[in-house]
Amino acid sequence: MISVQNVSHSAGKKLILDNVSFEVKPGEMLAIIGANGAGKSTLLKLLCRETITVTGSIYFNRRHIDLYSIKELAQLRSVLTQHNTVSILFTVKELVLMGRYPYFENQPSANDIEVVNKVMNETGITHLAGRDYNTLSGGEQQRVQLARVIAQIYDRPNAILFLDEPTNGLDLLYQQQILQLARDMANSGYMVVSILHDINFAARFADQILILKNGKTVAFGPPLEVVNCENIHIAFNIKVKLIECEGFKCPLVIPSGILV
Amino acid sequence: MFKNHKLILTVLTLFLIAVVIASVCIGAVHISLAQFWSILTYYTGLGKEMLFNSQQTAVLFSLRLPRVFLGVIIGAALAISGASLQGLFRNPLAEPGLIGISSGATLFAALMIVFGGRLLNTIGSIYGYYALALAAFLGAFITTLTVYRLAIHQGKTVITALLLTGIAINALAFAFTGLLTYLSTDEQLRNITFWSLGSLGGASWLSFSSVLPFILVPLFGLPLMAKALNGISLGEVQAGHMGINVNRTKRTVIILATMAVGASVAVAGVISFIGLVIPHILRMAFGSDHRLVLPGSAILGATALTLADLISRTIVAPAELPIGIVTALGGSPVFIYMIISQLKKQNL
Repeated sequence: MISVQNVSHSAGKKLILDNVSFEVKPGEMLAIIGANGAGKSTLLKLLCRETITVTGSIYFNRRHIDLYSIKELAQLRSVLTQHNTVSILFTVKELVLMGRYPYFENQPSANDIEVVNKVMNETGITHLAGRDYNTLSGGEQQRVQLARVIAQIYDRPNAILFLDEPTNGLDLLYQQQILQLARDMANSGYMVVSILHDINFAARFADQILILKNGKTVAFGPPLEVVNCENIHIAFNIKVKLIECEGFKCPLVIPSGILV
Repeated sequence: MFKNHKLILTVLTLFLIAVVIASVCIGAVHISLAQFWSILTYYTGLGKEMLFNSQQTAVLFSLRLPRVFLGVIIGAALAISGASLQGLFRNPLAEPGLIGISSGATLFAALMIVFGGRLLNTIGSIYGYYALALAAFLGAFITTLTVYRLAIHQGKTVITALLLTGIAINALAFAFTGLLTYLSTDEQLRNITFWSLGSLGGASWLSFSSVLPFILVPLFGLPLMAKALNGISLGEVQAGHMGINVNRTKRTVIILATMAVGASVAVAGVISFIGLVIPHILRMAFGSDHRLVLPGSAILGATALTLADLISRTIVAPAELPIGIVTALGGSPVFIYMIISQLKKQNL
């Protein structure tokens, strides 16, 4: 379980996060949405321990985040960042194997190899195994990176997957594939926390949504409760229409103009 | 892509051994393979036949062997430090010579020669070499830190800043080394000139054994950083997420790589391009996994420098070509090719 308690963060004098609290249980996917500059990325950095939390506390599985060693943390949570450039030549399989680095010293164990093969199969990239990563399309690259971060926590119970706008720059098919993979991870018991831009995607794939505005929580709860015109007005400064649509558990959000 | 690391390293090692034997046998005093074998077996007590004369053994033991062995460890040191610095800077153009590390080491070595005065009265003795190696290491270390500070912005290497810093530091070190020549005595001047040209001509068992420890430590230490360097190639942040202690990796790689460069400069001066070309060849042939590139560079670097030295002392015999000319002739076309391919990649 992830437990975030009264977390605030400031850069210089500017308050970026203001008293944010929420919980994520095993098997749940949380989507964090909000306008640019709402504090989403800062929150994710605190959650990954890329930045140290000074005010408030974060607990993973009832243990304070600061108490984990670098290696323990790497075996508990993995992170898919936004910009993934690989400076040198690696094949897809080598890259996915890097997800297992927290588990072996020099040579990967048989289990590591097995995990890599399973994950490549489940993420549908087995056919790319021998390709040079830099020759792949954007969508394929993102799927390979996702495979790498899944491999990092694959056989760990109660592990956490953090995703930072994983659908950015991808076409419609890849967007769905990536989020479906994230959803599948949650369904098999992992915790998934993802920053998303598309409210409709968030409502469709996530169990909980956290809406941020200027570092403050606008709303936190299941999609049906928090996705409404008022919350979106507040968070994004836009007018929206909600449209019920067959086959969607949550009404679709259509932007309809700028709020003056 | 071909991935059997052990097999690749074994083949490279066999190649190195062949080049070493060739280099030991070829020269002004020729030693045939049969004679070499006879010397080897005679002195290890395995054979009784003496197919050789005393001049050949004298040349072999006091000239050829120390020179070839020195070439082997310096080639290995230059290539492995190049490969690991390229991993750290996340760019294949980061080479100790190009980015100013070698000339930083030269400057400090020159300072040591001119101002170390008393200390270096003992030069020629093992402590003189130690002092020189230490000064060169310090120079290399300070330069690397400076270059790293200037070239890395927000975790990314700015390649233009990296290369321009290299040019600036090379110019500065060159100027200071030039100034020092006016303050130096004749003997000091000869020593300094030798450092700025690069040569294995001063090889002796003494110089070999005095730098050996400074090179063995990085030679065995750097391959242990291979996994962490692979991680860093995805980005420092990403490496941190993967459980790699990025700061510790940086410190270790910089200290070990500059130790190797410093030691090489102390006994052989500045030899360029080995650290650039050798890792590049390995990456082109077998991919970028540092678990192969680091040990592979050491072995292939040793082979290349031994070969370059063999060429430098035989091609214009009885005169001798500075080894830097040979490595530059082979290396600079590859360097130009690498720049062009990097430009192409950025345009695509």
